Amino acid sequence: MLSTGLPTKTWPAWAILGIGLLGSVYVSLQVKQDTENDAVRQFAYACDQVTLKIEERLGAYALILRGGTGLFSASAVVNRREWRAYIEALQAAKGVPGVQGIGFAQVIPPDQLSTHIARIRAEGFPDYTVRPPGERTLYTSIIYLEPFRDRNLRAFGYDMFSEPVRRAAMEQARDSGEAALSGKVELVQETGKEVQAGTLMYVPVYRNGAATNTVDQKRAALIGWAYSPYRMNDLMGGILANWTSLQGREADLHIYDGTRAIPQALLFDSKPLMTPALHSIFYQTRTINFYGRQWLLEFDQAITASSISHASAWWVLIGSLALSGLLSGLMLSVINTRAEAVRIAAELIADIKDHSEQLGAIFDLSPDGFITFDAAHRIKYVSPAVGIMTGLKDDDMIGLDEAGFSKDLANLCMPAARFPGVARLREQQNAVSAGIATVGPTTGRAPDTYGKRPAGTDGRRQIIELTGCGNRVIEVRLRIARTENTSQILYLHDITRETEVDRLKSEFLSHAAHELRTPMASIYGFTELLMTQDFDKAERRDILDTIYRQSELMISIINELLDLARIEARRGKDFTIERVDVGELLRDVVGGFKTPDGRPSPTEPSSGGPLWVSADRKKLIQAVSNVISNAYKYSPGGGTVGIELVPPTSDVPLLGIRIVDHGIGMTPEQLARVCERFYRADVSGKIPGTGLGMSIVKEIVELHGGQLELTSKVGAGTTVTLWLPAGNVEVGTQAPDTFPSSPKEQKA
Amino acid sequence: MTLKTTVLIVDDDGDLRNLLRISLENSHRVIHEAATAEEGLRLALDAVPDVLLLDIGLPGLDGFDFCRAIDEDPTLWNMKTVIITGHDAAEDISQAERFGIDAYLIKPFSPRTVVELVERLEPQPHKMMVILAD
Repeated sequence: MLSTGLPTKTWPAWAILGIGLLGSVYVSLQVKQDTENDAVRQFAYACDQVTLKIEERLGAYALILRGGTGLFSASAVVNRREWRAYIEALQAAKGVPGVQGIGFAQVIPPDQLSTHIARIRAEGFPDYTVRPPGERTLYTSIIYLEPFRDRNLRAFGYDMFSEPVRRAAMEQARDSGEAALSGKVELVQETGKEVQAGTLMYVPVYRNGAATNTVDQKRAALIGWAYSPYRMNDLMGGILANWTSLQGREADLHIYDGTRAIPQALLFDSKPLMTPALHSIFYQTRTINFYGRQWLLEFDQAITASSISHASAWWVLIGSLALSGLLSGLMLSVINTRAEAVRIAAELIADIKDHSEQLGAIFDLSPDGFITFDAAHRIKYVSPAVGIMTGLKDDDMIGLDEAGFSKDLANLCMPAARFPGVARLREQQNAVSAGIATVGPTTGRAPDTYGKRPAGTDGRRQIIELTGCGNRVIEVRLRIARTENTSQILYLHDITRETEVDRLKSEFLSHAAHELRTPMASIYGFTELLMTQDFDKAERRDILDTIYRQSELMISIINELLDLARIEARRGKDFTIERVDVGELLRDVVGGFKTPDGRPSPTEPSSGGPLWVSADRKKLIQAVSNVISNAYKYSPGGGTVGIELVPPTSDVPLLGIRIVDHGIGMTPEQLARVCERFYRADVSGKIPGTGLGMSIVKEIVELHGGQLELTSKVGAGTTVTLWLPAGNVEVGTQAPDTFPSSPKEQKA
Repeated sequence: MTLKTTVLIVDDDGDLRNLLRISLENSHRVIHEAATAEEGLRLALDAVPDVLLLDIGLPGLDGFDFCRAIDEDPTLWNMKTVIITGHDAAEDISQAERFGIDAYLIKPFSPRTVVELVERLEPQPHKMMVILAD
C-alpha cells in the first residue's frame, strides 16, 4: 500500500481513536451518571414528596388533635357524645387516613381514682377499670376513643402514663404545650395478628382559662391529652400507594424511630419480605422532626433493569465509539492519501528534475539553438548555442515578442537568404500540414545549382544565411508546441559546414568536369577536322599528335581524380601501414624514376642509419614521385633536383623528406594556391599537368598524420618538405577533417 | 574587291587556338591570336576585329573583365563576341547576356558549328539589290 520512504505518521489517527475511545467512555459514563443522577433526583424528589406527605400527615394529625382539645375550650366538660360527634364529623370528611382512632386520656389524681372509675362505670361500662393496677403518683386513662370498636376497645381504660415510652411523649406534650410523638411502641390495640409497629401523638389539654405560661403552670393546668394511636403501616399506607403507581417502581422505605437505623427502632419497612441489600445509588435518608421526635427515613430502590434506563448511555457509547472510529478511520485515510500524494509528488518532482536536468544538459551541450516562445508568443528561453550562432544576446532576446525577434534575426541575414519571420514559418507549416503547399524550393532560383541547396523552404524548414558571427548557413525549423505555457519552439541548426562541404564538392565536380572538357575540346574538334577536311601529311601528323597528347592529359586527369577521390573517401582506411625505412624507400623511388629529357637523377641523401616511419609504402612512393615530377617539370631550364632527409629532433618529432629544385619557382600568390585542385601555376600551357598532383601529395601526407611544407622564390626554385611523424603513429587520426582541403588549412 | 573579315581568338589553351585557327582560316579571313586578356585587348584595339572568340577562363583578367573593358571603347561596340567556355552555369550565361554577348559556346564544340556561327556573325558581303521595272 505505502511504499518505503518516510514512515507515514499515522499517530494522529490513533490519537483520535484513543481520544475518541476515552471520550466515548467518559461521555457515556457521564450520560450514565446523568441518567442515574436524573433517576436519583427523581427518586429524591419522590422521597421529598413522601417525607413531606408524612410531615403533612403528622401535622394534620396534630391539627385534628388540636381540634379535639378545642372542644375543651368551648365547654367546661366534654362528654363522650360530644367527642364522638367531633370524631364522626372528621371522619365524614375523610380527610385523614391511617388514624387508628382519636381519643382522650384523662389525668386522674390518685385521690380521685375511685370516684373516676365509679363515674365511668355509671356511664354504662361496668367492667371499666384503670389499667394497669398499682400505686402510682399519677393516673391517666383513655376515656374516649373513637371509633369505639374493634381493636380500639382494648385501649379503653388503659393508663398510658404507666408505660415509659408513652409517658415520655405525654410529659413532653404536657410540658411543651405542643404535640408530641411517642417512640416506637406496640399498641394495645394489637391482637397478636399482623402486629405493626405503632406510635402515638399527644396534644395536651389544659383547664379552660388556666395560665399556661410556665411548665409548672402547665402541669398544674393539665386535664388530659387528646391523642391518636397510629399503626405505622396504616399510617404509611396511603402515602406510598401513590408512589408505586406513579413511579412504576418498587421503592423501599424504612422509617426508624430516632436517628439510627437499628432494627429495634424500625417503625416501618415497605418491603418487609425482601432481604436488605447493600445500599443502591438511590439510597438516601430524610429526617422528620416532629416537635423533637426524630424519625429517620431510609429510602432505597432496587436497581432492576427497568429502574434506570441505561439505554441512552449505551447509545451514546455506541454512537461516540462509532464516531471515533469513523473519525480516526477518516484521519487514517487522509493521512495515507496525503502520504501517497506526497510520495507521488516527490516521484513526479524527481522525474521532472531529472528531465529538467537532462534537458538542461542537452540544451547546453547541443550545438543547435532552441528558442522557446511562451503562450503570448514572447521568448522565454534561449539555449546557449543561439547566441553563439547569431551573436544576439540572451538577455535581449528574453521577453522579446515574435515580430521583434523576427526583425532582429532578419537583419542579420544576407539578403538572398533572409529570415522570413516566425509568423511566416508558421503559415507555411500549417499550409503543409493542410496539404496545400508543394514540397520543393520556392525561392525562384533555378534548380540547377548542382549540389547547392537553395535558401528557401521545403515547407517545413527554412534555410537562412547569417553574417552575424561569421558567415553561417542555418537551417531553421518551427515546431508548434502543444502545452499551455509554450506556443512554439524555433530550432536553429548550423549547416555551414555541410553546405560548405556540399558547395566544395559540387564546385570540385564542376571544376573537374570543366577541366575534362578542355582536352575534350581539342580531341573532338581536331577529330572532326580530320574527318571533314583534307590535310597534308605534316599537318595530319601535327593534328594527331595534339589529339594523342590531349588524350593522355585526359587520362592523367581522370586517374588522378579517381586517386584523389579514393584516398579521400577511404580516409586512409585502406592504407597498409608498415615500418618503412625512408632512406631505402627514396633509393627505390629514385631508381624507378624516369627523368625527362635525360636529365640527371635526383641527388640522394647521404646514407646514414635507417630512419623509420610508419607509412603505407605505395602511397608514400606516389607522393614522393609526384613532388619529384613537379620539381623537374617546373625547372624546365634544367638544374639539379635534390632530395634531403631531415631527421626528427626532440623538439620536432617529425621526419622531413625534402625535395629541392632550382626551377622557375612561384610567387607568393601561386604558392598559396599550389595545393588547390586543378590549380596550375603555369598558364602558358607549356608545362603539362593536371593540377592535381600536389593535392594528392597533401592528402597523402596529412592522412599519415604529417604536414606539407612549401617554400619558393620566383626564378630561384621551390623546396617541398613532406613532414611525417617519426616512429609509430596511427594513420588517419590527425588528418584534417575537410573535404576538399583548402589552402587555408595548409600549415606551410 | 571584298574586304577580309578579322577574327580575334583569345584563349590560353594553345591547342584550342590552333583548332579554331585551322577551322576558320580561309582566304577571306584574317585570324589573330592572343593567350591573355591583356594581349587580346591590345590586339583588339589595334585590329578592330569583326568577330571575337573569347575564352572566359583566362589567367589574370578573365573574359568578363575583357568584356567590361571593351564596353568602354566605342570602336569595339560593333564587334561580335562569342564566348567559348567549359562553364555552362546559368549565372555565367545570364552574365554573358547582360554584357550583350552574341553567342555562348560551350566546350567541347564541333568546328563546323563554330564556322557556321562565325559566318553568321561576320559582316556579310555587300549585295546591291537590282530592281527591275515590271
